Amino acid sequence: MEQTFFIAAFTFYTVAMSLFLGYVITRRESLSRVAGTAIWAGVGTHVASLILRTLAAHVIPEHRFYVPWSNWFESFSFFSLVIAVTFLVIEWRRGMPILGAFVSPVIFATMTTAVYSPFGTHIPSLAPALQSYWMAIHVPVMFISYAAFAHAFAVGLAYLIQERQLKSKHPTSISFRLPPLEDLDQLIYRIIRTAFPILTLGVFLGARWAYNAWGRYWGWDPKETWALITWLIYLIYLHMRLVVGWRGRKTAYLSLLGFAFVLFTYVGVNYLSSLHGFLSNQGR
Amino acid sequence: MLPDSTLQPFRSVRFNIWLFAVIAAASIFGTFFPKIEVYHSGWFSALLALMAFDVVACKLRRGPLLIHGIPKRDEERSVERLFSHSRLRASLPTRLPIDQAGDVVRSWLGSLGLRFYEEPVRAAEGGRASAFFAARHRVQRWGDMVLHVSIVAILAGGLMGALYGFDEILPLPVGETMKLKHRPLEVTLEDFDIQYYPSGEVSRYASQITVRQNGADLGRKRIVVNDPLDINRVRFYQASWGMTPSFRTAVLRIGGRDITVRPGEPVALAGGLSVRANRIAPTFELTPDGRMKSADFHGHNPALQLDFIENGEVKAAVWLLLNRPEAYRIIGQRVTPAPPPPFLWVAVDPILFSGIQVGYDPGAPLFWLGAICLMAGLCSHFYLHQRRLRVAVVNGENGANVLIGGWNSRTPSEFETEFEDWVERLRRQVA
Ligand code: HEM
Repeated sequence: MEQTFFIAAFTFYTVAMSLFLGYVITRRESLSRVAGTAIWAGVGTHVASLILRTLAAHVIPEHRFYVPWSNWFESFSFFSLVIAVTFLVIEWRRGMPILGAFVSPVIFATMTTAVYSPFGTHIPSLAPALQSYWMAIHVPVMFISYAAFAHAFAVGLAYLIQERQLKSKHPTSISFRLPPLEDLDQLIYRIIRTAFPILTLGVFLGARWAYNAWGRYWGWDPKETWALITWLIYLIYLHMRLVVGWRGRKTAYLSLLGFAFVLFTYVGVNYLSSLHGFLSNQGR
Repeated sequence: MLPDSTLQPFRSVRFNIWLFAVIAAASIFGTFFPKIEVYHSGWFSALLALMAFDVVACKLRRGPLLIHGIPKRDEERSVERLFSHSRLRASLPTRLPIDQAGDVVRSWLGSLGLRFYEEPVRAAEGGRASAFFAARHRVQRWGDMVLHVSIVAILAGGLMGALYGFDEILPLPVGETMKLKHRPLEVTLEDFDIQYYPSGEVSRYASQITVRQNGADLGRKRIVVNDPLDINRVRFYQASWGMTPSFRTAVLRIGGRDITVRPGEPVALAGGLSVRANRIAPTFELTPDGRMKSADFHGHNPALQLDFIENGEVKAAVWLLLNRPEAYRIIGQRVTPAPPPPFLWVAVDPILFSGIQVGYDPGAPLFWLGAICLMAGLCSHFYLHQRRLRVAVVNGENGANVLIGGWNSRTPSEFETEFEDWVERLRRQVA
């Protein structure tokens, strides 16, 4: 049953992606509305599958603190869900359905990465370090910020595309769909300024957990260090924008760079360290 | 205090952006080359210290501005200066006399739910005028200062921990007691247990420990990963576990007969030969240069070191793997594969040790305080939207003229609609 819901969610996300792309090409408003509904359906079925999985896992006493984001498959699956929910929130606040055309492929990519987990899709045996309620707090907070940065990335990409379109003599259909440059620029900033405190909070919650689990709040392990590096990139963005007054293309590039660092922190670091990652099923 | 001009470069945001970038680059380098000590090096600490210094250099100067943000009542200001910061402007001509217009403005500001103050001003022509200052979410202005200063607290907390804290690890076999190096404390491991998942992975391990000072109990607890014992800020963590080289008993199966051996005690076999088991290697590994090494303490591939003794003389020394007909001869420092022996090592009752990490970090409270303040500052700075209005009522052509200026802490466009809406309400009230 859990699996059925998961497959349904994946299907809904895929349908949404196709519809959003159709929306860009045909410029039919109705397509974007159906696509938005498909994301809702994807989120609903996805949540159902996670609930069922959690109930199944909690049968074992060691899984008292189990949450469905404990290994590769679960982590990417849950991350996809957080991106989808973040999309719904931003879409509800800002009403920019075209964003779906940029974000739904990201969801598709993270779902695919989940399914092709090199460690299978079974419920993992939680390592002792993972048996903590901090797992339920620290990881989602990190993921919310990561998902928001994924959106800043998507909008940054939209900005760069739109800028090229406006400069070119033959703008294509996407340029009619995309909002004006200032709006995109402003949206990147809004997303980053909202996500930055969340990232900071996530890092501190991780530090609090490490204080209990590993005996120190900061130990310069690669995951922590890369979270700090990512934080510094967005710190540069904020100072550039707020104090130096950078706008437009340069900050759009920074939003792309920032997300590259997010991805490395999330995935790449696992190849540097086995302690703090899901490759070994050992870490947080 | 240093003269202002000396501090100027450190206040420059561009300088600090470079500093962030350099710290990030150094951190990246450190993760790729873990052998090179970056994070505890002098120069890296100096970069962090410079960051703290810059925040102080930049923000201390701004402190007074915050506190005196509200103009003093007795200060006379010219109307034009009132609006020097206003990014949004509106002007409403009315037919009302000045006093009455002032009343309308007061009730308008009140109906917007804004806190406001009246300020004495001087109109350009020297005539009478009244001015108002109103704001929503004024606390937002503290965010910038609080978040920057808390960076200093966080770094100071880290520095205190590095200078005055300690960290040691006690590999404690069950039943034994060890003294801490840094404190007159003794830790006894009363009991240790491990549980496994059906798959064989470790699910949980726990140590029952007692901490004593001069024989008096200070605390006891069954500690597990994620749940340390805290005694006056000295924290005892369950960090690791392993097999000691020692064991209680081991069982050898020789010619269908099981014999139990104890460490260091020879057991007679047939024909004047006896066997003595000495120690265990928890995870036996042969290095390329033919030496024995235990890869870790977790007992993934236990080996037992045996001596065969004849007439009180060691005839042969071997490593024997658990439950496998695999043996290695020890010749001096070298270990070489030997033909499978006619007996098996079938069981062992190992003595486990618990890795108890003891940490003391006097900087931690400051670090957490800084963290909380940083969060408060960030939330205030980014999640609150401060909006300020300046309103001046001056003499106009047919009556009082109401001048309105707006300023907000975010992008001006985020205030525009609301500002216009507010002005529109006043327009209706003065009409
Ligand atoms: C927690 C993250 C930080 C955030 C969100 C942040 C945000 C800001 C903002 C919004 C400003 C503009 C203030 C204004 O114009 O009134 C600013 C200025 C500045 N920040 Fe940061 N900052 C952070 C951390 C740091 C750090 C770690 C440094 C350390 C070197 C630093 C150094 C500066 C300097 C030198 C200025 C310019 C001074 C000024 O104009 O007040 N900031 N920062």
